[in-house]
Amino acid sequence: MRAVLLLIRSHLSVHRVRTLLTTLATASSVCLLVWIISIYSSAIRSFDLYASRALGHYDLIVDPVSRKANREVASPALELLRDEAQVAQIDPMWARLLTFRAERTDTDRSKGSQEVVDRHSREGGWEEVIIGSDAEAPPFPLLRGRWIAPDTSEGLQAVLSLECSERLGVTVGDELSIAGPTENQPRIQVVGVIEPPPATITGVMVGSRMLPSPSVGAVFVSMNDAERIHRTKPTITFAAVSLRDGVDVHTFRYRLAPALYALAKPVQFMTDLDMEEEMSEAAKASSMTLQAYVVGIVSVLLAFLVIFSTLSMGVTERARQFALLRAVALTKTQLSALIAGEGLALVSFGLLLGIPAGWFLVIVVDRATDGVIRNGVHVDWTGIGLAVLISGVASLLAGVLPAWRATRVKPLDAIAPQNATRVESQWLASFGWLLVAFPLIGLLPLVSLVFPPSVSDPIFARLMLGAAGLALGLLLLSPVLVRWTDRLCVPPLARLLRLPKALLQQQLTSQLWRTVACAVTLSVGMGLFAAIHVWGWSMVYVFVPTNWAPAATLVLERPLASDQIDQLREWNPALQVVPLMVEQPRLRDDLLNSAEFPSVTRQMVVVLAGLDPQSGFGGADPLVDTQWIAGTPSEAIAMMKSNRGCVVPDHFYNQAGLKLGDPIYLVPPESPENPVRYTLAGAVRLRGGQWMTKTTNMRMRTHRSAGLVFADYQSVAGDFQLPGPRHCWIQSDEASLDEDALLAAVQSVQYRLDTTLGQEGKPDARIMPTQDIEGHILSAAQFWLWFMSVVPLIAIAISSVAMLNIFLASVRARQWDFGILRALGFTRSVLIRIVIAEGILVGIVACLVGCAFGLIAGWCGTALTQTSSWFGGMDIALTLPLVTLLIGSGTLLTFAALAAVWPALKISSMSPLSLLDRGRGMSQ
Amino acid sequence: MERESSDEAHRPDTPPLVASDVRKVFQRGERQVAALRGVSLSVKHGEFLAIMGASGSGKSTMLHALAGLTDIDSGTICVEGQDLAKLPDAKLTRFRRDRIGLVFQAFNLVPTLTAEDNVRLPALEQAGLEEKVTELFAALGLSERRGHRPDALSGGEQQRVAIARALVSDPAILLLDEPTGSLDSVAGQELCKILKILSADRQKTVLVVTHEPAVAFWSDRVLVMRDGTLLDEFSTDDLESAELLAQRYQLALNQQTIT
Repeated sequence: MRAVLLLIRSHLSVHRVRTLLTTLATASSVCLLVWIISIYSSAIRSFDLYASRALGHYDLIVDPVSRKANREVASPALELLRDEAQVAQIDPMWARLLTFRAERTDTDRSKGSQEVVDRHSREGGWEEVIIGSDAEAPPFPLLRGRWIAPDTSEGLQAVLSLECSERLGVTVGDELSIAGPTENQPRIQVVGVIEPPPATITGVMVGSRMLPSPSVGAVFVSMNDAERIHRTKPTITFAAVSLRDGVDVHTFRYRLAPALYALAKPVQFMTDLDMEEEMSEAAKASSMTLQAYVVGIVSVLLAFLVIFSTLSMGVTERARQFALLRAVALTKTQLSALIAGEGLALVSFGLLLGIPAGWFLVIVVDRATDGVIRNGVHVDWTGIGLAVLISGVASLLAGVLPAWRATRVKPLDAIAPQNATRVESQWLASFGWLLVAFPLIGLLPLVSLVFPPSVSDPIFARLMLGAAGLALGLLLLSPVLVRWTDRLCVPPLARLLRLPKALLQQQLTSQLWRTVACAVTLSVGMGLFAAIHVWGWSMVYVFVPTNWAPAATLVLERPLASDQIDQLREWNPALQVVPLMVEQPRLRDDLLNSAEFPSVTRQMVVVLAGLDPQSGFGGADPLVDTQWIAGTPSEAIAMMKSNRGCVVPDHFYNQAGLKLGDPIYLVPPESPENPVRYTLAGAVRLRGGQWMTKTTNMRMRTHRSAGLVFADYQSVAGDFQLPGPRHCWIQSDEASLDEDALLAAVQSVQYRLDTTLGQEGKPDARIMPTQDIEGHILSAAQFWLWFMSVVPLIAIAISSVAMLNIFLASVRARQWDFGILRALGFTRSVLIRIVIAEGILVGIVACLVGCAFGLIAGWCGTALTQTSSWFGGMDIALTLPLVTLLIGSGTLLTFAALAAVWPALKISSMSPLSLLDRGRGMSQ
Repeated sequence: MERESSDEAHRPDTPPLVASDVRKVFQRGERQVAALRGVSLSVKHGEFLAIMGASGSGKSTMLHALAGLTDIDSGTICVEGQDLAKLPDAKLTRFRRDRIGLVFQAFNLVPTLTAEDNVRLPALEQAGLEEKVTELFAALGLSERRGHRPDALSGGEQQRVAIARALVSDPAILLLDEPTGSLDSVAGQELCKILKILSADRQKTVLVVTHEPAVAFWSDRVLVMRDGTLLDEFSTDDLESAELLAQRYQLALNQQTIT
């Protein structure tokens, strides 16, 4: 073993540049791993924290479905939840807006806040949200004093939020009074101060509605005191729920939703827009965990490939040396140990350099991104420990093939002519490998597209199996790709670089190990980059409204009367104004199995849009001009008019497994005891329908919706007791819609009929052009997809360092050949161009392998996402982001060419004689 | 080191190297080439033997077979009584490392190791290694060069280092394949002188494969090979110069051609 250690030490120290570059590349991979794992784990922690901050220590909020003034969480709902074994605690809460005045014991304290009082107070008091609760503990950290006692015979007591306490200039021991018409208002003693999250994070109001969350509370009192203040028994505005340890909030929520909806006074686990978004952030957090795993795999794979390529190169150029060692000293086992030891040494150097570098980077990011990652960025040492372990194993695995190749060297090769000692590798490019490669490549399409999984299938296992098969298949295919590239790309590249074709030909195939190692290493980043963009853009475009959508949606605060709509139509006859009766009822039956497999399209609630069937679907130029998956426009129109027919989106139709004529029972939110029977009249493609309803307040009761369902205007108005349309779809023949003119016209018609509207006031309406929705989705997608592309681009940069390393070794091994060329009269410039051309050719192979991986993995990923992702469920079409792929390929080719520059300059700077001398030396 | 050998190996009358009826056929495409056709030889303790022959005569194949570098089709090769064919690869490697010293024409040294590390390489676990290395470097006139890497040594120095490495584990025999092929005549003669001293003074058994009469002249006995067979055998005692040896060698070749 001492001989092995001696050889490892001498090899690494003599080839310092190679060791340094390999260390640099490996360290960069490790650094990337440390950085990404830390950032992701911090971000996930931050999301979790963020999601829960609005809720305090609670997990969920129970909110009435009804939006009527007398809405409440009735006792059956509370009882149902109390009977749930998974519920640890439920605290009903009452919330109202009241005006408070500070009754300070120390008047000096008010000086500082006097200006604020003058600016914001109304009638000398402050409008604050008071919350009545008998909770045993405060929902947020207690800063001063104590929490309210549930029942006290003493005077009224309150705990204030820190913000309220500062606004009013009061603290523990001070008193508040409630502003009212008489002077004899009750006084409330402040007994404690708590610290909810800032309103800028949690929000207080959305539209005209108060968020149902403890975070909106400024003044907390017991229910007893609430009754004394309110002078009547408080109704329950919302209830806060804590679940037992280990219970998954998401699963619990969707499991219990049907029971809550089925109550006489239905309630829902609906937090509200902001919190609801945060709940989906939690879903994002789990997808971020997956992303972190992917990045981790990529980093380790990169380190593996860097070490693999270095070791492979070492075996190729040291074949004669190994033969000599076998002849005079080492057994095959010792030779294998030599290769494995070199791999371990290289990964150790990488870890020693990479972990501190990653740690440093994390600190820099933490300081530079104050507030972005809200929970701060911390080094995730568990992840790093795992990374060290995996890297070690990866380095050992990276040595397996080179070690096997080394042991194939025979002792006799030590005295054989130089050419004979090159490890034979042309067999790699044999077309016979295609018989193995193609089935492996086809594995992922097979398990995702040909036999798509059901929601209960193990998706992750399919993905891992398919992706591994794809990677292995492409690895086996790459030698053949090298051969094709050699044949097809060399002639044009030789012309471009003005090189004799013969000098470039066979350069790739004659050094197959080098070429394949370089290309595969480079292709990792490119593959991930392509997969992200193919998957991402294919997923994004299902959310982008297409031609079926109207030019704009008019969103009204007050319903329009029919003559107001007529006036709008008269104002500009070129505009097609289609009023919509919109409600967000729930499905009586969980047709989409949302309780078990909730997703963005598997919900119990739909957005129901009542429209004139003829305008919507009839005629030669219907408003909703789209493809029919089931039924025909004429039959659907007839059913809508006569038989409460409804038209559903294709994903709803497919997931529910309904047939035309099947009933769909919808429960009116304000009249849950009277479900309405609708009949399935047709199904249409509605790409982007989800976002249309999201951004136009059509989801007025809950943030979630299974899809946009169309029915007859009059039926919806009658069944759901809607006074008039709050939405109009606008179709325009003009090239661009004059939004300002339209808004002015809306204001004008509203004012004409309703004199209570002020002329000075803002119009009670807004316009959401469909183009803006598209622009918003695409720009957001662009930002996130490029944000996610940072890692693959870094991977390309890291792998180009590995390529530089391999090329340095490659030109070193070919000094004799280059010496001959120089002796024959070829200039330095020719040598430079040859080496750079080789770099470009290797880059082309890497692009082919990477794009093939990205295309197949990305496209199959969308199919798997259909059943596994929160955002799955919709009909997805393959989208090829050609420009993006060209940018990625261009970046890779640039890095590949740059990686060849140093070796090219190095070899060209040597004289012919020294090339020949050193070349001869290399062969000895 | 695990010795596979028997007591026979240590008996002074047992030849350290015996080959009997060694045959080897190479497959060259569809053609079969008989490289060795029943070669037998025996080398005594302290004997300096040279095998001469033209290119393709089978002399190098014979040396490789004697070193256990290549398998033979039939026959036996015993080094210190150990039949090499009976050793599995790992044991054969260790046996070769410890009992057979090998020197090639070129490519002899590991380029990343210094001269002394190259010499130490086969015997790192051996007791008294440093003294042995120092003694070898002194004996071969390399004391000043032991810290240098191969690329800083001349061809002659590299071959002397290779000899030192071959001797460091105190092998039973020293096998050299065209050791002077890459050296100039002066360095070649110096090398031969060293080999003569090793066999005469230190009783090392030396077998050299060469086509140079000037090298074979230093040996005690010459075997002439052609077409995979032993053609002739003669002592060098009566030959006063390398030229006379060359004539004797030529005569052996010619006689066979006539017959």
